[in-house]
Amino acid sequence: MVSGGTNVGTSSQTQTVIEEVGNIRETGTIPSRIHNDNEIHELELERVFSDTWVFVGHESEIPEPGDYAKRYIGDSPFIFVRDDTGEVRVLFDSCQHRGTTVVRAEQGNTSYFRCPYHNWTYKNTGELVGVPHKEQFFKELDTCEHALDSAPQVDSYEGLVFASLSATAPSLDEYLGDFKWYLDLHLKFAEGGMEVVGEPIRWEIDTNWKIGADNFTGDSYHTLATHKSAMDLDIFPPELSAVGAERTPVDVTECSGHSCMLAYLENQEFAGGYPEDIFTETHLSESELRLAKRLVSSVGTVFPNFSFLQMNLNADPENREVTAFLNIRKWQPLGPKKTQVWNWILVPRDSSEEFKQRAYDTGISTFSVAGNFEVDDFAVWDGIAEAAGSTFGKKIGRRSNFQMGVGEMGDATNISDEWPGPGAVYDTNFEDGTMQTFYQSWYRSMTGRPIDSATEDVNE
Amino acid sequence: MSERFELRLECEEFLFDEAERLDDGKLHEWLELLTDDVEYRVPRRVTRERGSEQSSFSEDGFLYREDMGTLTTRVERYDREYAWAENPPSRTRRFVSNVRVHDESDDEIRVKSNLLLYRNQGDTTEHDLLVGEREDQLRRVDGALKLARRTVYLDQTILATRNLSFFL
Repeated sequence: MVSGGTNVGTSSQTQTVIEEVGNIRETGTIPSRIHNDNEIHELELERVFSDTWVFVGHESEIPEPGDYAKRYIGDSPFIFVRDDTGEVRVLFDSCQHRGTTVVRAEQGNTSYFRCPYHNWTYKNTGELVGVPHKEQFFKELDTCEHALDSAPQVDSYEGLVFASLSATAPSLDEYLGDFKWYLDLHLKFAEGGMEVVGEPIRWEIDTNWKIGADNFTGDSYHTLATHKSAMDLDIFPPELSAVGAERTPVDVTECSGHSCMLAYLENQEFAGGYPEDIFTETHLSESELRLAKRLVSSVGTVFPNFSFLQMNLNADPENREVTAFLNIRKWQPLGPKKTQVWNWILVPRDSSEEFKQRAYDTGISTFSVAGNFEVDDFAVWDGIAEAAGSTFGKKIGRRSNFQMGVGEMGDATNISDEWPGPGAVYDTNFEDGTMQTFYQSWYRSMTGRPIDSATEDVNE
Repeated sequence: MSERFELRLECEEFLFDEAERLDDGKLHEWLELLTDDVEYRVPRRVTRERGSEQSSFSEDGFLYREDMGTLTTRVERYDREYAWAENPPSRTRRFVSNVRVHDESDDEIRVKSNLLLYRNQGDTTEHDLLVGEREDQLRRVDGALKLARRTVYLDQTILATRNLSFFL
């Protein structure tokens, strides 16, 4: 049932479109319109990006007191900063005086943020400490009441900092829920955890933010077509690729509202993308460590717009070695058909400089703006928004198909009972349950529900 | 003509020839202009405050950091019809100007130039414009110039392009 209160002001047509997305489990399809529609976009900023937990940055990007970086939650500007006491904060980048943004640079180090308009000055904790000519013109102003606003909730998980614009949203721990099991495989296998190399690479594409997010839940089907050129050149070693016989694939769906796909080597101890001695036994369970060592590829999305990808790839199959790296993403919406991509490469903090550089080079040569895989994704995604926003597309009610392998369509088998991790898990990468999970979370979020249906059931 | 003027003309001729090969999609012929130990880098530009002691280019963040092997892999990928990023191919036009010869040693010449790259693809009037400065190290190999090192300093921090499926 849809709670009426959250939908005031929504056109009935848009409401119908949202409801149809909610039926994705039954129909396997969704109206393409949600991939390029002004009203849907505005509602997403209001509901999805205001009520969920949105990724801000990695703690290793701001290691020293005073380090800061400018970030966005939906369309709202924030300062991701480590204050002089070492605490990580997410401050709304808007001066308490007339509201302009106080940060001009993309990143830097500072003890104070000074607004360029009238020079109100804030410590990097957000506290207001300077009002020019206060004794003459602002005698009664209580500076304590005019600190920069903070995001209502800020928390981190293994170095990943998220914030929520809702003070009443469930905690980050609850929000990530069981999906932490899968994040851990990528973040906790090495003693010192992961760190970011360089600054995030950013670029813009003419498509909807959900396209990248849904693809990264585990669209293995497109790999064979979109990335055929990279596959043919063995950038993805053939024995490890989606059609490789050695590889055991699983799709993880309905995991606290998030989803991912994994592929690993069942019959080998170690997949070989990371240095073998980097793995520690202290942070993961036996079954997690077993899987982490054997992973050859994985992608996943934490709803709404944080994705990760880890693969064993090769920048130059003739002369280099297969190397693993962790790629994390933010699909930042700039409009119904405009997305800014934020792309970070992470490496184990304790690995050698030689490995870090090789992992970074492998990462940017495959999954970045010039990446041998990625360039082809972005060549095809623009077309989705073009057709979705077209008059005829709307007139005929064009729908996008997510039926692959689900229900009677294929022979995907639910192996949740024998699988060591959480979620509804299937024994194939060729089924669309991961994407159905994403759009179900979208529907739940757009209608004011928690993204995890289990949470709602408990609360009720 | 002075020797220095002649040297600049020679460098310009090299850069214009190189641009033609890239614009004409003759990527294997482009590779022939590179030395075997070529270093090709595009560091990420970072917006910093005026007066920041840090460089406005990242020390460890790159859009490209390539050698002959990785460049060759990329070129071989573009040979495939399934390399969708370049099918249909981009139409690029490179404007190379302000060529300055900075140093010359026995066999290497340091040359700076400005690059304006127009890219249009498919049936659309939209285009990408990428602008920056290139700092090249040219080397004489058997009498002819080759590119031994290139660093491209782009003027954008956020790239106004869906992908960099071409060389700068």
